[in-house]
Amino acid sequence: MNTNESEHVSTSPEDTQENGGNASSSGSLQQISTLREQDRWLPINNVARLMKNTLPPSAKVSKDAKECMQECVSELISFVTSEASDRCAADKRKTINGEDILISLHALGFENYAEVLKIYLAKYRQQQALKNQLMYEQDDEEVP
Amino acid sequence: MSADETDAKFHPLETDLQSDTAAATSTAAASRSPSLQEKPIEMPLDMGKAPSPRGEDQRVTNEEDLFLFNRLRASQNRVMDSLEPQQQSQYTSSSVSTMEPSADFTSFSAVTTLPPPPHQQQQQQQQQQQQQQLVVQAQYTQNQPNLQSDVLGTAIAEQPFYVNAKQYYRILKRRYARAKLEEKLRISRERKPYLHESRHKHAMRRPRGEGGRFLTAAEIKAMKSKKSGASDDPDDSHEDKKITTKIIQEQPHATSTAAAADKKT
Repeated sequence: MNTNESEHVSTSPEDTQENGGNASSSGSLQQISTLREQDRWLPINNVARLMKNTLPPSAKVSKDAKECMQECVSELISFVTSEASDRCAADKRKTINGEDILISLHALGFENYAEVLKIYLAKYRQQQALKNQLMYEQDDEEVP
Repeated sequence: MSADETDAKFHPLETDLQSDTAAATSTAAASRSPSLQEKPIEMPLDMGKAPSPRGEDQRVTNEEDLFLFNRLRASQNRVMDSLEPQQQSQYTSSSVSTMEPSADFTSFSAVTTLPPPPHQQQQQQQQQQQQQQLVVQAQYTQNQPNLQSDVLGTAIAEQPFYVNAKQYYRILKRRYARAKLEEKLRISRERKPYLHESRHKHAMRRPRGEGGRFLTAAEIKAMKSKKSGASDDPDDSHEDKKITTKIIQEQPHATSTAAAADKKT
């Protein structure tokens, strides 16, 4: 989940460059602005759902709180991803890996988060490996 | 030479990340000259933004500046409580080195203070070491050119906000990137009341009840039956009164339509 979010954010610099070329036309400005708003922040309903999952069912969250958390979360992702992308650029690589995110979290002082995400990344990879094995076995069964 | 020493202090070496920190220091050294050149451009933007959250009512504004303003208060209280009496004197003495763009740093400092519990002594020592690094960082800011000091003259009244030394350069880069985005794509920090025009129009057409809540299908049928019943009455004055009351009721709902549309999305 977190890896996907980081990947989503990492693609935005390329989109900004492409949209920069299209900025000359006035007709597409409205489209650019609408797209940009959706690209700048995570979907607010998903953020609200995550907030409500940690609260009792009777709790209510105000709109200001959701918007504030939305901006904080989006900025944190951009903050960490910016560090990771600079490290990838230094190594002349184009793809940001999970290790790059962990290293950037360490470099920025988020050691506690890095430890938790390290465990998560290992489990996520195990799950992916199991899925691949199942697919491979199904292919073997289909052949005969 | 002093710059190199500050590099060493800002990026403490670790056994596991020695090569990475070396690369980070090289990138930091490369990025210093553009950051110094670009800072005077960024200053007036922050100067213009600073007074706005104080003048406006907290209830009315939903802008990001208000959130930053609230974070400033929280971070101030935390910093003052965490400092020892000796360090408080340093805190007041270092107020000369205040910078307006440091307002953006408080949100990150608040985040970094959460993970370590303050009860343990070892972590208190670590915090003291970090604070010493931060004081050095404040001294580093004093070495900047005179132009910025002139600009900062008006900002001396505000107190400084300390951030994690590891995050200092990244924060500056992010601030520059956000400003660049705003200039390029003409994006303002204000939020739109709705995301989709068609959905907004549909919501505007729907009938509403008390408090701006949408009417259910059953309530709509009841309204229609009432209208059919009213048409049978010969009194025209009653109908006129009902129409005027509906018009009056519809006007305040216009403000709530945006909120309802946002709730939908």
